[in-house]
Amino acid sequence: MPTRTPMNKAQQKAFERHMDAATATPEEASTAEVDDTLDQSIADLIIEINEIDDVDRLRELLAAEHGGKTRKGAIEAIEAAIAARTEE
Amino acid sequence: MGSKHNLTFADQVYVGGGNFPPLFSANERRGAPVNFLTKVSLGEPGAADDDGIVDAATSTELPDTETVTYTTADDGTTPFDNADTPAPSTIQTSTGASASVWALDVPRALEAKVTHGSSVVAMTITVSGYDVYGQAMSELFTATAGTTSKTVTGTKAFKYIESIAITAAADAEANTLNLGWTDVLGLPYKAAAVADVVRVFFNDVLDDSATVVAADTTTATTGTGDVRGTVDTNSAADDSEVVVWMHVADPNTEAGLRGVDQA
Repeated sequence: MPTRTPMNKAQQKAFERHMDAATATPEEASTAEVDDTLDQSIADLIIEINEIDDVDRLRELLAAEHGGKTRKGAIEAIEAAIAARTEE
Repeated sequence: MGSKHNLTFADQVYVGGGNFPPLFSANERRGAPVNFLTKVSLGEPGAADDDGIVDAATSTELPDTETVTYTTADDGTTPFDNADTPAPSTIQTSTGASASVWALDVPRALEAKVTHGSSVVAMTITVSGYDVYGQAMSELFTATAGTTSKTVTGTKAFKYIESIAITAAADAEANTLNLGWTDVLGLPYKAAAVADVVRVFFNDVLDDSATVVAADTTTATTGTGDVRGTVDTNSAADDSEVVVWMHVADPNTEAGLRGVDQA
């Protein structure tokens, strides 16, 4: 029997973003992904960024947060994620 | 094969003693630079089979807001082809670990086809496995929503398949999924450029219409191309041998031989 793993909300959102990116132009996809990722509570954001391994994408998120809501918790969480990825 | 000998470790080899000052000034060597070719066999690939692995998976075999993951433990049951699916075997990977896999006849790219009676429900298929050297690799096949048929052709040459994870954020049980292999064959050495693949022979006959794709040198992800490059012969695979004469641009480094790290 195959293994069945239900999707949580963060995974569903990530899946939907992936599908949006697959059907959009690269520039549209990148901007939409950043906006969508940051448009959530810090708790949900932390869950999501823990699943992002791409340091460039984390840097995009950090720049967007600095240029937008500038939430201290969000900035610290993204910076910590970048530090963790670049130390590995 | 008889004795073996490493000719040189130089990055560039020159032959001849002629000394033309402008060339000596540029090359800092007499003679002319030469580039060696190597002859590689890509094996005798059997015919492409677009449902050779997963054959018409549907209903509860597909995800409903979840990920459904198949491994060789599911071999012999639906939705596997079973007639054409390679028998599972155990290999030792590049890390020394053991893995239960389906071994393809030669390293070759995969293809996923998703159909639906009215409109495909968005679905991804992540195939994980190993290349010919046992290095772990994965490829993500994305079937976007809409229309009645979506074919997603892979670019990475798999030798071994370990798992197939199918994901949908909605009920995709009305989809039908086929997964099989194509005629796109993996190279055993990195082809830094298309021009480095000098000749392709199919069944000992020159194939000047083969499609060559150079190695993808970006950091490998589930969405990048093959790390060494691929060849697709003009003739359909039919168990005939495919032979390539190619130039390996950087034989002095590990990455120059096998391409960037697999992922």
